[in-house]
Amino acid sequence: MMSRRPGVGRDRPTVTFTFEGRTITARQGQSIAAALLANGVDILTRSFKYRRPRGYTCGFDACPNCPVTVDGLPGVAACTTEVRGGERVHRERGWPSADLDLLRVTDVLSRFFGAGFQFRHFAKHPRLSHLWERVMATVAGAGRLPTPGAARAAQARRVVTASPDVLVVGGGLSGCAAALGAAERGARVLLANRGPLGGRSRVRRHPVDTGADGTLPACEAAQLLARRVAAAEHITVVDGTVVGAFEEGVFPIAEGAVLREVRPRAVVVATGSYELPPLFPNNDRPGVVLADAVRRLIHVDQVVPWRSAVVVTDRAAGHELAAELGEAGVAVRAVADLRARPDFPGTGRVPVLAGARVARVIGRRRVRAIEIEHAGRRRRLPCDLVGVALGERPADELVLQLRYLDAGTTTAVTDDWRPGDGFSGRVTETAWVVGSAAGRGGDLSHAYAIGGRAAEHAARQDPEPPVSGDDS
Amino acid sequence: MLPGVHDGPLARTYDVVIVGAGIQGVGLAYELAKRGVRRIAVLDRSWPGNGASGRNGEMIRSAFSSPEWINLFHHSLRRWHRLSAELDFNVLFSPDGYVVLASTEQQWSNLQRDARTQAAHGLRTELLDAAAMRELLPAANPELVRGGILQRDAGFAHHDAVVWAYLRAAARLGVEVHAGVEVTGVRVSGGRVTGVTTAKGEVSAPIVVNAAGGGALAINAMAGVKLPMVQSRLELLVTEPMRPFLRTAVAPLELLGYCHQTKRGEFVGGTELPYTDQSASLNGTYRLLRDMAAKWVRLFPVLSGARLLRHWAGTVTQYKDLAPVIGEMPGLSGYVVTIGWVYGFMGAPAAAELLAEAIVTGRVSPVLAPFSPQRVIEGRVIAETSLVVASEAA
Amino acid sequence: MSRAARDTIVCHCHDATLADLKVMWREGYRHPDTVKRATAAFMGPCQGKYCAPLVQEILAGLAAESGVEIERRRPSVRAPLYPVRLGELAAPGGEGGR
Repeated sequence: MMSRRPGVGRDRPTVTFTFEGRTITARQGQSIAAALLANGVDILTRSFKYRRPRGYTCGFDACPNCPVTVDGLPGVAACTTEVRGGERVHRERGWPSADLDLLRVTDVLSRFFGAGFQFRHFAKHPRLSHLWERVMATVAGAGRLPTPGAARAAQARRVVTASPDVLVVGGGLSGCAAALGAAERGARVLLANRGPLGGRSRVRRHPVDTGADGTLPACEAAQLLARRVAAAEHITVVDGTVVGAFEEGVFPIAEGAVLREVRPRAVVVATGSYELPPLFPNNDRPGVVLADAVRRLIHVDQVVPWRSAVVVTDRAAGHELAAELGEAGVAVRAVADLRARPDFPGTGRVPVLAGARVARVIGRRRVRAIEIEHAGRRRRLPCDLVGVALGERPADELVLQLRYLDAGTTTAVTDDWRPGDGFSGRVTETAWVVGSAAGRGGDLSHAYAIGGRAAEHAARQDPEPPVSGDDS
Repeated sequence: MLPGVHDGPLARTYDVVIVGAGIQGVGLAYELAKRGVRRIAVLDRSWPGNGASGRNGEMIRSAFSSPEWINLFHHSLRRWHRLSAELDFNVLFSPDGYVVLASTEQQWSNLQRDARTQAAHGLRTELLDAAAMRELLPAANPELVRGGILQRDAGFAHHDAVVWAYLRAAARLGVEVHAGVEVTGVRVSGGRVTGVTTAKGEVSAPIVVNAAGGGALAINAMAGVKLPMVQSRLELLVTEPMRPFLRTAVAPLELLGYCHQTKRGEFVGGTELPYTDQSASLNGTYRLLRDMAAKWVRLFPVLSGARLLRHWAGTVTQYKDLAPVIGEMPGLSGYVVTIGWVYGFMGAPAAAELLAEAIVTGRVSPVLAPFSPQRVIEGRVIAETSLVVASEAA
Repeated sequence: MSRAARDTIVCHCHDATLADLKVMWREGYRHPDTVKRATAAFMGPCQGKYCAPLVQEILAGLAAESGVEIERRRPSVRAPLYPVRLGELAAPGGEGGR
């Protein structure tokens, strides 16, 4: 069953941009990565040391595999940057080009260039060492330097200040729910999000209980809450990156032209999750793509650049991914399920290899096949996509920072800061965490309630005189 | 933990106990072992290099304004050139040059005077006027370039590599470097130090060295030593790798900052506000992040488009003249300090050697002598003006 | 170390491989922070977003094999939460830190 998803329809106008001398046509709303993939460009960059080809991988700016230079500014994440029209894009590493990088000799000779190799060589030969370092320096950062114009354009022009009652960091499903919950309790809310509201839920369709509006596919729930947030009088939405938590109690938000200094009375962290990456030989080949990234291309960018796929998974979500791929016209050769006894809503059409183990991915410049060990045999399955659905983990960096500040030290905070089931969501006296960042993805009633609690907490603080020039 | 860290238990007695396994502590241990001292323990409450030694700006020079600093740090610079070969580990010492940058007439005038002092002490430094300096630093904002001093054979190194190198070399010579051992007391009896108390037991030693960096004042307090020194927090940032645009290390006097571009292409730089931040926290502050961003973008406009990857902090201790405090504490036999290091990374190779020499022979080199704790007790200062850290002594 | 281990990429930012982690473990780097500095994992643009679970899983496995305990924390998280341009932080004005 295919539900309606926000996406880039064929009725959207086309836009063109220049890519390494070529003109690329895209649809308004598509990411640079999607447009390139739609035009047969799989290699988006070369890796730092071994110059291995890399391509679209995570879809949500959580990996280093798609940075491109746009109008002279390097380090632009192609997966989350929409095509504007008229820009000049080129890739960053590769000599003479990203398609053919002669420096990949380091990959061929990787046994001599392992981690720490630079400390093992030339210790007794300072002049050679110095020369070697100069070579490395040229090779490492090759090609990446902002042009003067790009550097000037990157500078923020002004600083604004804001003192909302509640700052919600992250405008996915749970962030929107928390913001609505806080606003309902009378709080002035500032919701900071990177890109369009909805987060990963924009690409997912699993059922979410929205409470009053019933159970909806995640993408529709995201649309609904985003509309509500946009319409809410006391929720200000900003599109920018929260830089971090600081001891001065300020949460700076970098919004491009503006730097916003936010001093909230309470904070709700709704930063979502990261998908878990796979570990097998050639796990970094273009064509090995995480599940949400696959979904984003298909549903949001409406680009399907693959002909055949193998899904590697250890959960039901992987089988769902296989179904979505099938609906999108991709021939799914098999689902390699790492579990000995997978539970799945099988259709019988896609073979399921239970108890599978990935031996390796084959293909020099991109995925051409995957080798799976199954039932005592090694099978080579030709494909151009390996979809990976191995689960997710909380994007808990901001929570950890808040805990460091609270504890006064970094070392006291261990990985198990979530004390098991029944975790209330309280991080510190003035901060909470909701949604998948708290291990409670999709629990909108919790997020809503926490928003309310944050609002109540903010209301109980002593009234502060407004900051001069406050723009909240 | 890491190679060179001792696996076995803490013994009951040693000839020397060094508190703190940063570059000063491990360097000193190596130099002592080289001179035949047998049972040496270096105790660190976390792990070697977790303090300022692993957080600093990696810069190395000897082009200072005072004879005291010039002599000590030049001795160090000469050691830096041979360090990788001696320790058989490439510490990536890059003698790509160090620039002390003047942006105002006053600073330019001061540097002209410093250049004469440096020449008088046998240093090979060059005074570059505005035009020549702009040519050397094409990425720098010409408005901030009035001129400066270039020390060609100075530069920077890789801070972790140096700690690892000293650690491995010390371990090869039988030094025991213990990680995760916190010193909780310093034992004193009749004007002599007799050992330390740790979380893992008591240790006797006739010589205890405080090389505890940001934690040094607490160790002093345990020994009943009170010096007019403060703890101080310094902050830095690093960007993603870029094509080489800056060859030398640069210390712009006007910006109270110091920076370089690493061999991986990352820009690393730190700045300070004109007062000492006495916090013990390792969290970076918003005010310094803004200060660094504004200053570095002002000096190197291309950095406006550079992506910031990380902002961190480290702690040191300092005396008001910002010079290190090195030597045996008067009145407390056997208690040696090598603390107050704000320029500790660059000075360590010399200090380790000279202090080891002093401990073993009882004779303090004239290069080391000016930095004695005696000056601190008497409230005297070494007037060094070529620093990019806010100092009260200039 | 096998070709397969060298082709299994753990840190995509700096090309630290499964082979590197194993070699570093053998050499004696056995703490999340020292492994980080020895392999450059966590030090690239992703600051651990991608590699953290892999590094943790591999170290936990190596620790179990060697029968040792390893600290259960990741290297400290610092600002910025995502790389921002220095120019974005250099805007004039504002309160700075109050």
